[in-house]
Formats: sequence, C-alpha cells, structure tokens
Amino acid sequence: MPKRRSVRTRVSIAISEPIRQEAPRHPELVGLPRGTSRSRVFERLLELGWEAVLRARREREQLSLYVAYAQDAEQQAVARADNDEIRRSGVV
Amino acid sequence: MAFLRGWIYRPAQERPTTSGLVVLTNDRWNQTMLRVGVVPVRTAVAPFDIPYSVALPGGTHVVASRLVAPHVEGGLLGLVEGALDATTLAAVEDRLCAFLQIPELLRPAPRPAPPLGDATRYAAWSEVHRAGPEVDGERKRRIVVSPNPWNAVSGMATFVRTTTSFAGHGDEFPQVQGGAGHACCGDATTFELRAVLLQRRDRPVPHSTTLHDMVAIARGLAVTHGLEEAVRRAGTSLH
Repeated sequence: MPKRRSVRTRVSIAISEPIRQEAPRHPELVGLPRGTSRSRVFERLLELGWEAVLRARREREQLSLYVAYAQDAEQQAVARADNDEIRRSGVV
Repeated sequence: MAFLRGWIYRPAQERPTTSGLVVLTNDRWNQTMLRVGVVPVRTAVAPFDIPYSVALPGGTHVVASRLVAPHVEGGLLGLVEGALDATTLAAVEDRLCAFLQIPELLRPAPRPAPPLGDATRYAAWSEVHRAGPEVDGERKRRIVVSPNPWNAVSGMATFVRTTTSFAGHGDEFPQVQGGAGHACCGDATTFELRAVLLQRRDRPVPHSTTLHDMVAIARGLAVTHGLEEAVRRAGTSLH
C-alpha cells in the first residue's frame, strides 16, 4: 500500500542546474534541518513556490480592492474628520 | 512618506503620554490608503490597558487597546523612529488579537463575553452606534469591536465603520446587517465616549449586529491588521 501511494504522489520533473546543485546543500533556507534528503528539500521548495503563487494572487486582489476603497469619497471625508477627532482626544 | 507595518513613528507634535505610534495595518493597505492603523507607545499605562500592553526597553509600553487610524497627512504621524523586533511585534499582535477577541470569534462555537454592569452607560460589544465626528452633518454608523470589560471602565470604545457607499468584495469589507452595508475593518478606530451617541433614541436600527457579522468582522480585522500569524498562534484559523 505505501508503495502504491508513493507512485501516485510522485511526479518526474526537470530541475534547473543551479537549483539541483544548491538547494539540497542549504535545507535550512527552506526551514528544514541539515541532513534532510534531496527529495524532501525539492518537495518543500515546491510547497513554498505554490504558497508564493497564491500569496501573489491574493496581494494583487488586495491591492485592487484597496485602491478602489481609497478612491471612495465618503471614506476620504471620514478619514480626515476622524483624524481631527483622534488629535483632539486623549486616546493616543 | 511610506508607512510600514511594525515600524514606530514619532508623533508629529508632542503628546502628553505618547512617545511613538506603531503601524499595524498590512503593507498593501499602507501603500494605498489615506489612513493607517496604529497603536501608541506610551510612557504610562492605565490599569485597564495592562492586559493589552507590551513592555519595551526603556520603560515604555505598546498599548494595543488604543487602536486608531490617523490620516497619513493629518499631522499625527511624524518621522520614523525605529522598528519593533519580530518577537515584540508578535507579542503586540497577540495582544491586539486578544483585545479584538478574534481567536474566540473564529472558534467553531464562539461565546463572547456578555455586557458587564449597566451597559447603557457605555458602548457594548457588537452594538451599533452613531460615533465619531460629524461628517456632512451626521455621525457615521459604527459597530463596537472592543471587549465589554474594557468598554465598561475605559470611557472609550473601538469601532469599525459601516458604509453603503462602497461595496468591495473581500474579507476586509464583510457584508453586515443582512447585506445592508459593509464593515470597513481597516478603518477600526477608538473614540472617547463623548464622541458616541449612547442614548437608545439616537441609535440606528437595528441597535446591534449579529454574531455572524461579528465573526466576519473579526476575520476582516485579522486581514487588515496583519494578524494572520497571531490567529495561528492562538490555535485558530481564518477559514
């Protein structure tokens, strides 16, 4: 059973020379202890790459949402008025 | 000037007990918005703020329970003074997370603390009030997000504003009150009670919002104020 599962979850891919050479020498850069196997380092690299892709998409969506809100006239008026109140108050 | 999360800025003008302001809103927010979320570095800490404070070397304290959102050109934020180290920033995030009751609200069956004492004398958690300064002749509708034990004794409350003029989709602007408006989580700010209309006759209808809305606002606050890691540290998750 474990062998069958392993076959299903493995893929064969080409890895560029610098990554193939360097990454296994520095497992600590991807949060793994020294002596971690090459395959585990590459697996972690893929995980980090996928997380970065998702994060980049999320950040693009966030930026366009925030830019739209920044242009909202009501928000601009409230931001100025709130600021005056914050300066007058003893909150900070 | 760009404001960066985790950095401390001097007040532009001297203030009695505040020596710095720590930016906590996320850096996409800080890049685009006219206002950023900050908490003060104070030389004195009120007893009710102690559970939400983090001591700094030199005897000052970052007080996460005094969250405000000043205008970036509003004369409050001055020059950069330094940055919190990662451990201190994480501690401040944890205090703000606790203050906003985010871990509790993101649990499967949230049970926020009930009001204490005479809740007509302060702004209680999840209530809707007209609060803050007048804009175009009216105070805006805002929902209380600070915890009742703090609201009851501090003479202040922390609010998120609701709006019908902006209908952006995202965790940061959750729909509230059955879709009647959106909460602007990144604008969360604290007001003294003199800026809040507490009388029931002055309050908008409905007078309070639902637990479902409060959970959505908690999620939004975690995103706008960069508290995702703090949420994880508290043993809960955003989704």
